[in-house]
Amino acid sequence: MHTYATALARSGVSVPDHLVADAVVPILDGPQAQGDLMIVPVDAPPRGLAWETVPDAGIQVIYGEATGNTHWLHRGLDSPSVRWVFDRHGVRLGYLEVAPDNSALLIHTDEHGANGIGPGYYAIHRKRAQDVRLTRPGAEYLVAD
Amino acid sequence: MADWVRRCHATGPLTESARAGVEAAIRTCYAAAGLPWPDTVVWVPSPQVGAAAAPLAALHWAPQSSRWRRRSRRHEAAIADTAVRIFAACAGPVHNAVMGRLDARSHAETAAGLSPLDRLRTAMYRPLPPAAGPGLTRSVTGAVRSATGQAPPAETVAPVRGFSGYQKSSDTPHCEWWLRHGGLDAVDEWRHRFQAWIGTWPVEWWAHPRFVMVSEPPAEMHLETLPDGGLRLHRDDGPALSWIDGESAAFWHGVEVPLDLITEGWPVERIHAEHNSEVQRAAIERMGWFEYLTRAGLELVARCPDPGNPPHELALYEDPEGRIGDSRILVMINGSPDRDGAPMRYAEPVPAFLGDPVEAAAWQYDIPADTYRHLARRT
Repeated sequence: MHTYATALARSGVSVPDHLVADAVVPILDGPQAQGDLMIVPVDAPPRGLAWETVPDAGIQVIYGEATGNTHWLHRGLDSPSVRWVFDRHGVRLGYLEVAPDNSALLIHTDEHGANGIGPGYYAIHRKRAQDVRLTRPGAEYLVAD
Repeated sequence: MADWVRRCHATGPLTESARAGVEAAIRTCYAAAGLPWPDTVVWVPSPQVGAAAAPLAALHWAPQSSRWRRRSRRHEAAIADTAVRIFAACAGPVHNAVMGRLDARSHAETAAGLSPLDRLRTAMYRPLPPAAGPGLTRSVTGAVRSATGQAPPAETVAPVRGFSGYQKSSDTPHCEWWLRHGGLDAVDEWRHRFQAWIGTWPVEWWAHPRFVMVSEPPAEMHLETLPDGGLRLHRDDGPALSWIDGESAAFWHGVEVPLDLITEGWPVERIHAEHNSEVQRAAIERMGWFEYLTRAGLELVARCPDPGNPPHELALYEDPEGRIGDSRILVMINGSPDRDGAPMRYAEPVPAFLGDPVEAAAWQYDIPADTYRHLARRT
């Protein structure tokens, strides 16, 4: 079982003072949100993707240390079989596969804490907003908090 | 890539040897274009000064600088013609050779590898018409005197109209990459000229048959790094660019804005009076959408519990006066508090066809509303 502190230790960061360090990170298999990211269960990702096993160092799903907006993907406890593939399209960043009896962790190094992810297939989506520039009605832009 | 970041983001003041390097590069450009070297190089402290002084100096050299000729802008054409001849001699052949040899397929294949170069464009700056302060008038007068031996008539100096130097095309970094890696032997003879051309990139310059005016790069430059690694001019507590003569330019996430929008923030009335919608949006973002919808008197369309995020709610607002176009504003609260322990509230625009706050939240992540309704947890 991961607590927030043990989860964040995976990314080499300590718990921000304002969050509860020993809060248990629940492992869930439904849709979960982490700030501007959404973990969405999918039936099956498309075939032919170049999957990679999530390395010990984790994967930066969103890179942006300058903005503090860094979401890390890690394997959970006793979870050798967690795979990820970047497959960007629209708001989608890529797909996640968590094998039976395995778990994954999505960790935000600043304000959003950690989410535990149970067995299954998922897509991770970013968040968008309506672009209100009147010259380009209906356009969209991606949100980075 | 690193070379281009350095070229596009050079800061001043330049050392004597850097200035000499730029002057030598410009001289090579003149020679390549078959133009006699004017022997008069005027350094100005900022592109605002150059943008005002270069056309005035050109006006001095225009045959019969009568009122009619001034209106006809033919003196500015002398600068534009020189620029075109230099571009055609130094950069044009390489651009044509590179672009001509790339078919659509290799374009697509290399687009991913070269795309970082495209991001440079977001951090480039083209001077806008400056406000004519007394300091600027003095600098412009001095620069024109250096270029022509004569001060311009006082009434022509203020108000000044902006006139930017070369437009730096993002094709140039692409072409340079192909020259290095593409094995384009056929364009070897142009390599020297092209190197001279890109040697002028750290500065703004105005080429004329009788003089060259060159501006110092900014003394200070504030950039933000985007999540994809790109760079963009941005500063939230002052001008993002400032030059040694005190000229400055303010940017909000890459959009050039009036300085008081950054330093003081605009009231709602000023935001609504703004005609440029990019600037308008920057002003709203500077204020924060939540603050904006309160102050602008937006009306609640609907509210409901935020699934997976108790005890917080989602709320959807609209502007009955239609000032925000085809948008509504969705307010949501973060699953985790901020560092002060306060709930973090976000207000973001969504399309106006959305009437249900849950549908609006689902639209933001591009998932079905039903999936959002079953949100297990939000952090």
